[in-house]
Amino acid sequence: MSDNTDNNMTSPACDAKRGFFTLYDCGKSSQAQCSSCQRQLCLEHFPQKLSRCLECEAQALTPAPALASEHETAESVPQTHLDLIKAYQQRDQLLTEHKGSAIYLGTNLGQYYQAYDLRSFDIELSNISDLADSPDEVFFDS
Amino acid sequence: MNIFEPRKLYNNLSQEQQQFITDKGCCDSMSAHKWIRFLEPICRYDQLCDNIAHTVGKWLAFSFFAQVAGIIIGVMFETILIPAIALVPLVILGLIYRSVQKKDVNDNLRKTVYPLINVLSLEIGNRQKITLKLNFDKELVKQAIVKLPQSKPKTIFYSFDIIEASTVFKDGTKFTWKVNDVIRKRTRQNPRGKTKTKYKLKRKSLINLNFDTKVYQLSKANLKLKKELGKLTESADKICYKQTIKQSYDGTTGELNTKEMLSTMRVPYQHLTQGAAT
Repeated sequence: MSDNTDNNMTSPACDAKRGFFTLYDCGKSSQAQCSSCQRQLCLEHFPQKLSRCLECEAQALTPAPALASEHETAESVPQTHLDLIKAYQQRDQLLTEHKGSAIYLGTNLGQYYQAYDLRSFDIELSNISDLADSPDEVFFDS
Repeated sequence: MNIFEPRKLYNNLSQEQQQFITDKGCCDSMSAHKWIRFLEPICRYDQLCDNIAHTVGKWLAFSFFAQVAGIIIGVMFETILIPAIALVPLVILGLIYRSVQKKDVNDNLRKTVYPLINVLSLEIGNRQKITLKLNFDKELVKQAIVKLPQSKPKTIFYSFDIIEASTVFKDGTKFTWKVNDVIRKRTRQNPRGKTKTKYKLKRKSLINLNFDTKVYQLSKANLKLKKELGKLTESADKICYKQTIKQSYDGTTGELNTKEMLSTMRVPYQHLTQGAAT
């Protein structure tokens, strides 16, 4: 991990996309740059304990059994993140296999998700849903 | 492999988690990451128990044959000592196997429900809750008996709703998933007068997705495909997708197919276009 910054106010938004069938912007402030994909990411998508972001880890791992602890590379990745990596891996496999079926709701897709051939809908999630996340709530403690 | 490890893991579980294992299910509404924190230790415990049951099972089979050999040798040499010695590991291994199997958790929790919650955690907001009702206690009791039109004499059907899940995705899509198991118990008497019982499991997994028409509308292209699917219906405020996955297994248990489920859930998205939201 590189370039950790304490000032969240000035840092750009996280480049990662959440969602499985519908992808949307993460919405959090970026904290570090992934050395593998060069994207600016928040701590949820690039936990400090990993050497690269969750999505890069997911792409690097071979198909794994249902529970992450059964994974061959379990020693190199902290336990708490493995199951989430597995979910990203499933997303990657499904969306690569069925290109063009998933949707992106947002305005800044970027190059990273080109392989999925996403259909981009110019809709802000805040306009359609009142399910906005608490900014302080992270998925896992890192 | 440490045979006392499952006990240690079990004792480290919270009271609610231990209750889940005892009751073989639960019903609650929590956020995805709370569900993951709740289920992850249970899945790990189940995995360890399965590994131990597998190894102990093999040794148990070996001990059984050793016991048979011990009895034969004992009869030949007119001694009770050899069969008695051979009986010791058989009893110990039997007790370990029984205790592990007694607190066994259904594999579908580890192999399907848990991975699916991880997937849903990506699709829903952090604060959005997932309502989950799990009941893997498939005891063939009178209360579970159902009468079906195809019921024949000496055939009994038991019905169980093993999984019920519902949540709302971040884009406003309402998701519900129900899994119903029907176990057929058929008793027959063979010509020699022996009674034989056979079980067959028929599983229906119903997936329901209700899309918000503010976000999506049904694509006017691929109309033929939509007709073929016959699963997509449109009304003023929602686009409804219903699909049932049917599976059948010999016996009373079977593994749910996560990949097939995710592929099924993906289908309606390819027929959707941008809705009217601004």
